Amino acid sequence: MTKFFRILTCSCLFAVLAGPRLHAEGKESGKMKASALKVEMIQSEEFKLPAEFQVALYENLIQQVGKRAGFLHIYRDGDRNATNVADLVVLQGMVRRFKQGSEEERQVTTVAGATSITIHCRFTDSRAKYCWRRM
Amino acid sequence: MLKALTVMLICGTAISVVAQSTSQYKVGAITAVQPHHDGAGSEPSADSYDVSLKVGDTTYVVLYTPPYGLQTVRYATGREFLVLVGEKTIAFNDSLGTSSELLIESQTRAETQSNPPNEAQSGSPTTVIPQPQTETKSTEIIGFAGVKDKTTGVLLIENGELCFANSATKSQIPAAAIEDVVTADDSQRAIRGTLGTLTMFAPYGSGRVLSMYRSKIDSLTIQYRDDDGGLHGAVFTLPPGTAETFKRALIKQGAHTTIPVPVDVGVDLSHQVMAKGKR
Repeated sequence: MTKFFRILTCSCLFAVLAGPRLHAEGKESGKMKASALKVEMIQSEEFKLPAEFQVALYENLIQQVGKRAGFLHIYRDGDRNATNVADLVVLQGMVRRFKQGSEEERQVTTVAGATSITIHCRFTDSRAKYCWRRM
Repeated sequence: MLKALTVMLICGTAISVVAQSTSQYKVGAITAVQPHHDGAGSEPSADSYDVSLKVGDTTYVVLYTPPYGLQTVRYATGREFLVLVGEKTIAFNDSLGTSSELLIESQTRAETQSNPPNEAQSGSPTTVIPQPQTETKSTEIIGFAGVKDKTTGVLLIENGELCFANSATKSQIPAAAIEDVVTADDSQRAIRGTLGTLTMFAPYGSGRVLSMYRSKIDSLTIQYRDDDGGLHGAVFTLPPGTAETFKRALIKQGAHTTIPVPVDVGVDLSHQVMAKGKR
């Protein structure tokens, strides 16, 4: 099961890791200076995401951002300490597509039956202005 | 001829019953638990306990060393379970089905034992409150504070806290801080409805065949908040069929859930909340 959690987070991780670089190349503004990032819980309005997937994505995202991204502080969803941080960027993840895998298929074919998730990632600053977003 | 055969059958049955009586499991009840003293005047050990076990009219004092340094045995007074009394050891099966043998330190007739062992050395009797506890083998997949990912250990509810322990670490959070506890079955019901159950009634036994491919593990997902209000999540895998029981035990201790457990299990439903917030 952990293999699939790892696979599922790849798309989200890519977005996080590539985010600051891509943002610097954006047309809207120059380089953004943000010392802190708040990661919000992965949301799924159109699809009912299993709780274990939702939590695993959220926790893995926080771990990977803490390891690789250059933020001084990583705040969790609901953390009261994040309210007074000026240069805070909020990362929101929204599930746009969810295709649950099949254990039967995985056991029979060993190549098919993987779960796939498409997540829309959105970085916003304190003025709720979109910094960068990508599917 | 028939009479002789009947007599032989009766005698054979009686002999077999007498022969088996020495190896029968009996109900044993824990009457007292004291920290183990290695010798006179020595400090009590934090790792081992002298457990007084009443079996029939005999009270045995056995030496028990809990795994992973857990101390839940201190609250085990009043618990009953099946034991097999040997000459020097008492065998029992724990809640996980693992068989263990405990060394008998002493044994007395139950009527003549007025004080639990080591009470004179400790100075005051230990107050032990019977408390229900639930524990199961588990693997922490991700998210539990203070525990490395993919760590195998024991998940238990102790003193109103959810604890995860193994030989290296022990971490716990208050059960009341848990905002949501969901099992894998809950997730499937929320997404697929009752279709999963209906496959059991598929024709020509195909439902049974399909069930061969079903998951060999169960999962328990919790969400809780730290002191700063930060949201945490943790995913555990458990042996099949144990997650639902564990969820009920957590709810009894004050945890909340967005997917209520069935009403007929006798759980206090005051802690259950319907889907709210972002979910």
